[in-house]
Amino acid sequence: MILERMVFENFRQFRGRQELVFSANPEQNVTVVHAEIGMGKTTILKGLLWVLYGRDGLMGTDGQADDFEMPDRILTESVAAQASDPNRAEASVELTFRHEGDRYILRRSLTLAQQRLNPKQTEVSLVQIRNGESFKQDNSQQRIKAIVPDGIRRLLFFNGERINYLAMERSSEEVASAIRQMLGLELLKDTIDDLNHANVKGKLKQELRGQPTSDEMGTLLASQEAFETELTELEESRKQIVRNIEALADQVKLINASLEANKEAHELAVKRAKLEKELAEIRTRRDETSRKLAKLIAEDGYTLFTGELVRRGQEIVRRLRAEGKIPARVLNTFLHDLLENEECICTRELRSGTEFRAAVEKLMEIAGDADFNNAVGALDHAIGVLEEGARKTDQRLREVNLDRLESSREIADLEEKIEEISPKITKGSDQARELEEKRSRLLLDRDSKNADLGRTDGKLDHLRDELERIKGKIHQMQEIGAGAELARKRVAAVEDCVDILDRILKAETEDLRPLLNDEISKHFSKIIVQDFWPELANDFTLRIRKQVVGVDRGGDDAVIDAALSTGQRTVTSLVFIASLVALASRRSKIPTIVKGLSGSDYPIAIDSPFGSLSMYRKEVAQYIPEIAPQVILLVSPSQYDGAVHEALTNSGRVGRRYYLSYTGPLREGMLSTDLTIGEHRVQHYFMSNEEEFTTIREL
Amino acid sequence: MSNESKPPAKLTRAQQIFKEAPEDLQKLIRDVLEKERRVMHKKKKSNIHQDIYQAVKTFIK
Repeated sequence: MILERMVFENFRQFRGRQELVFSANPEQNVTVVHAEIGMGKTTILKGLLWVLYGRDGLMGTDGQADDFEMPDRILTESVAAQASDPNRAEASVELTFRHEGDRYILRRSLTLAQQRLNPKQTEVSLVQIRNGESFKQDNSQQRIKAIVPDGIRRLLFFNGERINYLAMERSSEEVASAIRQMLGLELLKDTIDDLNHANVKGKLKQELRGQPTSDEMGTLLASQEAFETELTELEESRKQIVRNIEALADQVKLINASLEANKEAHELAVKRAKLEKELAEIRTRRDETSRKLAKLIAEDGYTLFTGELVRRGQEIVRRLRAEGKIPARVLNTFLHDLLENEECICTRELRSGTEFRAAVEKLMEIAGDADFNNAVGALDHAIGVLEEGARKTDQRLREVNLDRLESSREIADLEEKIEEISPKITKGSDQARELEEKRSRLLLDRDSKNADLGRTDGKLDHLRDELERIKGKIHQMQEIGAGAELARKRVAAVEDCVDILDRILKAETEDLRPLLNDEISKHFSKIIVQDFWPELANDFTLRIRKQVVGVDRGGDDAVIDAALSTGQRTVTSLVFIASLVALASRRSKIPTIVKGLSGSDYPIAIDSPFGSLSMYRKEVAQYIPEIAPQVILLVSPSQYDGAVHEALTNSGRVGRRYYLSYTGPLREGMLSTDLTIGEHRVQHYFMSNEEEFTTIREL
Repeated sequence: MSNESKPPAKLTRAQQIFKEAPEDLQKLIRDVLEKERRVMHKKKKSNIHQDIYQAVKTFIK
């Protein structure tokens, strides 16, 4: 950021339009504003802070407006007093600056009406100019804070008499924060904190909950295996039962053959064989009928429950028909044609305003279109289909059920007849009786095996159902597991990112501290040549160290912290700021992993830079052009005259000079109307009992 | 002198750490830093956590 111009308009004592053009030439990077105490030096600095940050910029770290009384009175008092319309009386500051190759114009304003209502609520706009094209920034304040973060503004725009606090132990956190912000490291720290936040990492970790444990999955897999083994065994067992039943059937066949060969049992055995054949056929038929019945109920059974629906549908259609609404007695398209042609089919004219036309138009109220009539027809048809379907289903169900009942009755008859045969055979010869008894046992065995088969089939069905359930559960768990696996991967990714960013932050900080220390030493030695040196400690405390000869127990030299005077602390603080600004500028030339991690060029504006320097004033004046790419000094004659003037003039780095002139009543301590700045002598006081204001004048 | 003849700039330690990270994490870090950069100067960084959470879901699949 390099400042180009600042325009005040009715801002505090700067009545009307006043401007400062800053020297932006790198060779002559210093702009000096000379003014007696109380004439507006501080207002210039505060104007800069106000345009950048609004009312917040006027406040110190303690929230108080230091060096700036009544911060809520921004509009020039005389303008405010004479304003006829508080919405038109306005104070503003416009700042033009360059940043990363683009020009920006920032303007902040405050009307008298708004100042009375809420002076914190200012109007701010930022326009970016790139390659001659203007782009208005949507969030001006946010953009400004991105360019000059809040945390470093106190290091760039400050009162030189109050900056010595930086070189105090209590300021280490502010120093560390300033380093992070100015060098772009705060972003890393924020990112690490946000990645670790409960709403990021915590939320991802929550997704891990409900994940099946390996024990749960292991139990399910073991169950699946056990069920599969049991199923295989049971299927094998079923096959054996079937084989046994077939073997028993073969044996029964042999006995049947023997009985048929037996003279006494022959007739009965043949009859039984015939009945059994018939029984088998009827059983087959009955099974088939049962299947038909099941199919009929599954496919058309619903029609039996549509009776009420059909009745209501018929009633509605009947009512609409009775009312003449369906089908429409006349089609609207037909009526439209008549009205358009202005002639009825009865040849009457249907001109506008005639009673005939009115009669036709009235017909439109009851007219329907072709689609409506078609829809009603379809509805009518659907109701008919449902009604017919219900009737047919009912009839078919009755027929099939009758068949089934008939088959069952025939089966019962045949079974009875077959049962009657066995006692008759046993009354015959011994051989026939033995054969029949054996046959009966075989049949009992067969029935027993059939019962086994039924039980086995039942068990198989149950096992298959259980197996399906377990497989489903395993699949479900695998799906949950896959989700949890992804969540685990994401949590790990977040932790890895935090680790990488932590290491980057650590590396950057470690690498920057010695660089910063080098800068600090280099700058410090230009001002103070003594046997002590500044050092930025690991905890970012800015200290002055000095070597004391033969003080430890062995009589060796020791390095201790030096107690600093206010002047030394001011120099140390200035040197620290200069070093930080220099390093930020260097860093802006190094590509980083993402924009925003680098530093930038920053200007420095100091109010009363030479006030607390005592014996170091000349050295600081010689050095001050080097502290930043652009330096703005707001100085009083008492601080400037002599050594400072000589040093700054000799440096050849002052590009622009201004002085502030005061118009108003005589002020206490004002001995002369003239101001001497080096070889220049200018009038800076104009007496007036009518008005009071300050003017910016270029020297 | 053309750019092609310039020797490659030596990487800083931080750049080296980043370069050694897996590619998907590099993409995620870049995206999250971009999101942070957009809101870093706000007092209330609304939605930043939700945005980062979504970025993790987008980049880590």
